[in-house]
Order: sequence, then structure tokens, then C-alpha cells
Amino acid sequence: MHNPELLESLLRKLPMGACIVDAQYQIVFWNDFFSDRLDLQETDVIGKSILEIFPEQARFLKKKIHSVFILKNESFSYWEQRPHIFEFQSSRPITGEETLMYQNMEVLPLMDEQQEVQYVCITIQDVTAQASYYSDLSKAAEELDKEHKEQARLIRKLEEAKTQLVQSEKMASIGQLAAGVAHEINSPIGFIYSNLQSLQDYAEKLIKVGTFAAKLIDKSGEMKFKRLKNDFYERAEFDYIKEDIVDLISESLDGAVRVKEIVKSLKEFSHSDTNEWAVSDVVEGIESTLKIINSQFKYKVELVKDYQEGIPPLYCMVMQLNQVFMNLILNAAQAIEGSGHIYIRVYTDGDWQKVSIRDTGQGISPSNLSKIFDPFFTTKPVGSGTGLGLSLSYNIIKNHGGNIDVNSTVGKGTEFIVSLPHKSANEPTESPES
Amino acid sequence: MNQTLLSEDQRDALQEMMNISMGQAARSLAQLIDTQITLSIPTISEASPSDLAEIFSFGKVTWYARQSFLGQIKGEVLSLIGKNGCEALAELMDYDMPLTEVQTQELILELTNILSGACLSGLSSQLELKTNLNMPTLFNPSASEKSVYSWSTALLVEVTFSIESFSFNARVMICMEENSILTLKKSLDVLVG
Ligand SMILES: Nc1ncnc2c1ncn2[C@@H]1O[C@H](COP(=O)(O)OP(=O)(O)O)[C@@H](O)[C@H]1O
Ligand SMILES: [Mg+2]
Repeated sequence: MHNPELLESLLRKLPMGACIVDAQYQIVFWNDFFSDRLDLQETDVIGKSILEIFPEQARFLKKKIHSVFILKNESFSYWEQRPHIFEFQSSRPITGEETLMYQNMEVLPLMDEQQEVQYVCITIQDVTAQASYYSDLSKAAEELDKEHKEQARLIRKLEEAKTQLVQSEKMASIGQLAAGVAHEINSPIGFIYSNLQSLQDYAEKLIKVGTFAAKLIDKSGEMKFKRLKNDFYERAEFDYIKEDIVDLISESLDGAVRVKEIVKSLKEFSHSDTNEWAVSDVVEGIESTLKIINSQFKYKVELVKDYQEGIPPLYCMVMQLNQVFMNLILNAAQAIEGSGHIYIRVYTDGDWQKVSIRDTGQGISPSNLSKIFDPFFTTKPVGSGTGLGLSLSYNIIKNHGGNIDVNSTVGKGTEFIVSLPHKSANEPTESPES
Repeated sequence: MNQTLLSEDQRDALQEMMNISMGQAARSLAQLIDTQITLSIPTISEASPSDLAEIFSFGKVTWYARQSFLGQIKGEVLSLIGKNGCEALAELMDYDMPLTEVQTQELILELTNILSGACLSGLSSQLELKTNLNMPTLFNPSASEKSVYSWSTALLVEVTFSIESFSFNARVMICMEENSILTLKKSLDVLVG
């Protein structure tokens, strides 16, 4: 087919853009694809410079066209790098969501017989469908990736929650165990104590009886009885027993009193209903906590207590507060290498009741300071630290409407200050009648 | 003997052709950027698919792009654009500095098009074989499966451009399927006489 008119009309109707320019960038041909989409008829543009008609793309078009004239090879531009060279509307003006057409461009050299480039033809392909398919695809991939990450995050959270649950289960069962043991010991230690008291009374009386009998025999003047008595008392070590029995019984009584107190603290500490709000004395709470944990560090730590007098009781969950004090005091003790001091201070400060627990331990580095309240953050070796103590404490104090503050100097020590409001928000108001 | 290997005569002829066509490419490029360009003599070697693994391990210093061609010989041109010197070249080619990611992609694609266009038109015009290049695309060799390459041998044409104070390295691999290599060999034989 060598009919130039037919070929030209075909070129006009081609479903792709075709625009031919000469070496001076002047447009010599412009097909329907261009005129339909730009509302610029061929007669409006023929003989004009393409650089003037598209000033925004002038630099890019000039470079492309120039390079084809010189290199005599086609040159390309791809929608991914340069999506909208010409302001063509999308091929889907009614239904499509893209408003601008995505374009691939190819600039072809048109050469004469001497292999010199006479013109270049700019062809434009509408790749909107392909581009939107691609971007849909990558959007979907992105979404999938996001979902995947969200899933991983949830799984991690679930695992954390599980560990936390296990931990609080453990605490609860330790509490129950302690309550059970305390209950079991309570009645035997009760009768041991009261029996010892009776024994103390009886022993005193028996000693009096023995002493009185000896005196009587001495007074009677009967040497034979006196000798027999002396002999018998000596063999039985009456003088020694008379002294020792008093000590033994009072020591035992002391021991029994101590056991009773520990049992009482245990019972208090492991009170079955730990979430109960009640008016309680914070100092008492600290003291009963200390009784339980004191033995863990009493050889290396000197405790210095400073309780302000007349501190009013607080409406609080005292069992939970005790857990906080236990965590803070144990952390303080664990931070001390060798020997050191722990200062426990309870005082009021305006509307707040404050408990300060200060140690002379190793301190916390500034980079760790922001992390210590995170669940599972621990610097202790596996097995000795759970990293849950402070996060649990933080939650408990927040539930009380209070704060935990920390000051620390590496090598000097650390102070945790628990501040609790005197007047708790959920404290029941007393009716004036009662 | 491997049917697809080039004989010494064929290789010499090819070398001569490449010298001419890369020389033309360099002259055109020099005209385009208005700067003197020196070109190393292109070295020609053959690469088997197993050589590819090594070539594809230069990802730190090289960009990869590919461009397929159709016609009497068919295949793909793979270009390896050294990252060194690219910025300086981009400046000469009137790119805005510093290059954004998209501009870098455009630069790689443009360089690929220029280089593979020069190589292929050199081959096809002198051997009187018709070929048409398609659009170049970026290529990430680590992301694709090596076993899918279906060619038996590839011509590796290596050139180095030196432009004023800096040098810029590029390698062009013309990979052809077996039938096309046989066509090429026949055409070379005609040329050698
Ligand atoms: N008094 C303190 N002195 C030094 N470091 C402390 C102190 N209290 C807490 N830390 C740091 O905070 C971390 C977290 O404490 P915590 O939540 O109680 O978990 P754990 O005691 O199980 O490690 C500890 O591992 C420790 O590094
Ligand atoms: Mg702890």
C-alpha cells in the first residue's frame, strides 16, 4: 500500500498520539489524539514551536528531541518516572477515577536516504489502565504489608499480655498460698503462745515451791535431811535450772510472738480481696511489707526510717500499695552492691501524701531512665528480673490517682517518690447525718 | 564444539564493527553534551548464564537496566551503569542537581537507551539486519530467578567513557537466543567473506 493520503488519514486516526516536529522544534503534524484531548486544532499549531505550546515541558521536550536528532535513535519516557507529559484527560472521563492520562512517550527519528534525521515523531501511548492497575497492585501490597505488621504487633502484644497474666496469676497463687499457710500456723502458734505463758507462770511457782522447801529444811536444823536435800538439789542442778528455765521460757515466748507477728503480716499482705478500697494506714502497710522482705537484705542494708507523725490514713487499696512498696524496696536493695543504706520517708506535702524510697545503690543511666517503667524492661540477668515490677507499680499508683517520680545519679543512688492524693477521687463522701 | 561460540574471524569482525559504532556513539554523545569524550576500545567477550551471577553481584556499584529488541535478531540488551561518575555526567546532560530518585531512574534509562541504541544500531546497520528497540526498564537482578534466563550465550561489550576530569564506566551485554546468534554468525561470515 503506497497511498500517502490513506497513510496520513490512518496516522490521524491512530489510537495513540503522534506529533511530528522539525529540527527547529516546529510542529509539522499533529494527529486527532492530540487535538481531541487538548482542544487545539492542527491548524492552530502547525508551524508553531512545540516548546512554546508546552512551556512547562519545554526543557524536557527540547532535550529529548535534540538527542534524537543527534543520536539518531529513538528515545523513551516512561509513566513511572514522568506520568503526565501532556495534560491529556484520562480515557475514562465519566467512570474513571484518574483525571490525568498516564503516558509513555517514544520519540522516533524520521530519516532521509542519507540517514540524516529530518523530523522526529513524538508518539504518546495511553497507559492509564496499566498505571492504575500497577498502583492498585502496589497499594494492595502496601496494605497487605501494613496488615501483616499490625498482626505481628498484635501477636507480640498478646504474648506480653499472656506473660503479664502468668505473672499476676503467680502473684495471686503465692498470695493464696501465703494466706493458707498463715491460717494453718495461726492456731498452733496461738496455743503454743498461751501454753508458754502458762508454763512461765507454773515454772515461777515451781521454783518458789522448791526454794521454799529448801529453806524450810535448812531452818529445821536436821543435818541428815539437810545433807540429803543438798545432795539431791545438786544432782538435779536445781540452782542452774532455776535460772535457765526463766530465760528459756521467755526466749520461747519472744519467738512465738515473732511468729505470731509474721503470720499476722502474711495474713494482712495476702488479704484475699486485694482490690478492696478501704481507709488504711500507709505506714502500717510499709511496716508489714518490711517484715516479710526484711530478711532478704538485712545483712547488707541498713534501713533508715523517717515517718512523719500523725499522718492521716488514706482511702486506698492497701494490699496493692504494699506490692508497690515491696517492688521499690527490693529494687533498692538489689541496686546495692556490697553494703549500703535504704532511706524510707513518709511525709505530707500539700494535698499529697508521699513515700520516698532512696538507696545508695548503683543508680540508673540516663538512657535507661525513660525505659524502666516499660513492661519487661530489666537489666537484671535472666531469672532474677522480670522487668514487671515498676510497670505494675506504675499502674497501681495511676489507679490511685497518684504519681511515681524518680531521681537517679549513676554511682550515687536512686530515689523513687510515690505521691498519693490525700483525698482520693473515688472516696465515698460521708453523709453529714451519720 | 559449541554451535553458538564465535570463531576468531567472526569475533574480529564484530570487534571492528563495535569500534566503529561505539566511536559513532561517543561522537554523538559528545555533540549532545557539548563536551569532549574519550572512549576506551570496546572489549568483546562471551558470557554464559553462569557468568551472570558474578555480573549481577555488583549491585553496590552498578545500576542495571534492560531493553529488549525485536527484528531479524531478537534478544535483550542489559546495561550495567557504574554509579561512579554518574552525577557528573548528569550535570553535563542538564539534569537538576542533586538528583532525586525519579531523576536518577530517568538518567539510568536514558543512558541505557543511548548505549544499547548505539551498540545495536552499529550491529544492525553494518550487518544489514533489521532490529527495533523497545522501551528500557530498570532491572533488579537480585529480585528475579536466575533459572528463567533462556539464552545460551551473550555478547558482552564493555566500554569506558572518560569525560574531562572524571571517568564513567558502562557495560553493555547483548543477550541473544540461539537462533539469533546463528543468524548473527551467518551475517558475520558474509561480511568476512
Ligand atoms: N533503685 C534502683 N536502682 C537502680 N536501678 C533500678 C532501681 N529500680 C529499678 N531499676 C532499674 O529498672 C529496671 C526495671 O525494674 P523492675 O520493673 O522492678 O524490674 P526488675 O526489677 O525485674 O528488673 C531494673 O532492671 C533496673 O535496671
Ligand atoms: Mg523489680
